[in-house]
Amino acid sequence: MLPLRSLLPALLTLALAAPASAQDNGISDPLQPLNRQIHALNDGLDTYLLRPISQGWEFITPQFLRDALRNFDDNITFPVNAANDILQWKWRAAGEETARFGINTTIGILGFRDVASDWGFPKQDEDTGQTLGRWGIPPGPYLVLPILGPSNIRDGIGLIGDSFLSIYWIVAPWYVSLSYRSVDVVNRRAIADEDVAAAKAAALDYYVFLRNAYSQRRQALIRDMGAVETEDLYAFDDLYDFPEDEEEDEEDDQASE
Amino acid sequence: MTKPASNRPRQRHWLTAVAVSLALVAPCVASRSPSDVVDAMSGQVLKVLRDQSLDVDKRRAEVEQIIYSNVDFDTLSRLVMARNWRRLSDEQKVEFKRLFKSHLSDTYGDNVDNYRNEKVQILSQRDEKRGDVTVKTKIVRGGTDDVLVDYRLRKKNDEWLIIDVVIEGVSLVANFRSQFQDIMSNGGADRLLKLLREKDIEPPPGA
Repeated sequence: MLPLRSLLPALLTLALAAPASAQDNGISDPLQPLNRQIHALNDGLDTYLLRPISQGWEFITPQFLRDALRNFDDNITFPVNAANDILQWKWRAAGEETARFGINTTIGILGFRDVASDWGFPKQDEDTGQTLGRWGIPPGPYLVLPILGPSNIRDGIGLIGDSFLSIYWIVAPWYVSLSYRSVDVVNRRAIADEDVAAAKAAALDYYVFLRNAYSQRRQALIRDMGAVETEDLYAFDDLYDFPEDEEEDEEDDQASE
Repeated sequence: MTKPASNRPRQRHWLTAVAVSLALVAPCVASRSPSDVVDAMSGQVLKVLRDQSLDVDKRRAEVEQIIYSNVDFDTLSRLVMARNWRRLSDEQKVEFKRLFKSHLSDTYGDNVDNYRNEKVQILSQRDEKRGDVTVKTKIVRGGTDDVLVDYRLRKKNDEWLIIDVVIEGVSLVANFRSQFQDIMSNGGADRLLKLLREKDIEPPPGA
């Protein structure tokens, strides 16, 4: 906790000082040199450590077990989802999340089976970073966290909130929590393998790919995949124009470069 | 070829004539709605993916053909390049379009092998600015694993064509635009085309 606490003021100052550059749809990345290095480190860890382990895991486990473990972990994130639903004043969603937790913990046998999805209570994806976003706090500069990957100042702060809301740190000693988290990460990496491979194959610059995909995805999550229409969150309003048709703009741009 | 001794051939001629005239008339009359276009395309793709009599390469080729006839790659290329489009020479534009199209169909084609009995649900259709239409769909894989896919379509020559795909909130156009912007400002068109050429000859993973 100590290093984070001493870093926070510095990070917050950065967040306020850095203007959003127009470089990538308004995503600001003043820490890019450092971010790229951490990204390279994470990518190396993934390629040479996490993925091989997860492939081994995939080899020795049947799919129903991998799905069951994933469902179990989804289920125990209930406090994170429910608390953030309430903090975003989504009382109906909080109720649904509670019903979901009740159904899956009992009928779904401690959450290993996701029965609630079929009963009309789909999995929710809420966290403190989204709550801060819904409250109007901007993302701030892009951050690549060691091991954890893409984030930004706001969502990085949100992670601290999430960890306070998580069950396992409270109910289990640290080494149990850590072992559990490790298995969960390996398991999820195995499940996501095809998606990761597809992303790497599609990207021409994997760093920029992740930076943009992360930012778009977070924006979409904050407005609950389009269920909430908040004008100010549409960053890509000119996405479907042909900017090169606007002769005058173009000339101005080139003159200023 | 010997002529079979029946009136079948004549009947077949008649049927062919009707089929051909229908085919000619259909595109003018139909003017299908964007939802219909996406629905029909998804149906065609799923049919190919389910067809176990085809090998992977054949399935891949057929899916590519379906994508080609439903996606407006000219518009897609210009949207993805945005302001940088004018910085390409005419030859570079042609090469870019060819490489980008090939790259997209490779990436899409790589997933053909991963098909696991998914279904596609059309959820809704929404009018957008500039006369575009968004069709929201869901790829149903069961429970937690459903994927939301939105297609943005624009009318071209009285036909709705796809100009963007938004997967779980991530727009393909926006994502490639940011990558290409970054590459163009660090090495220009030469570097961008070089990277695309390298991707073009790279074998797909697992091949």
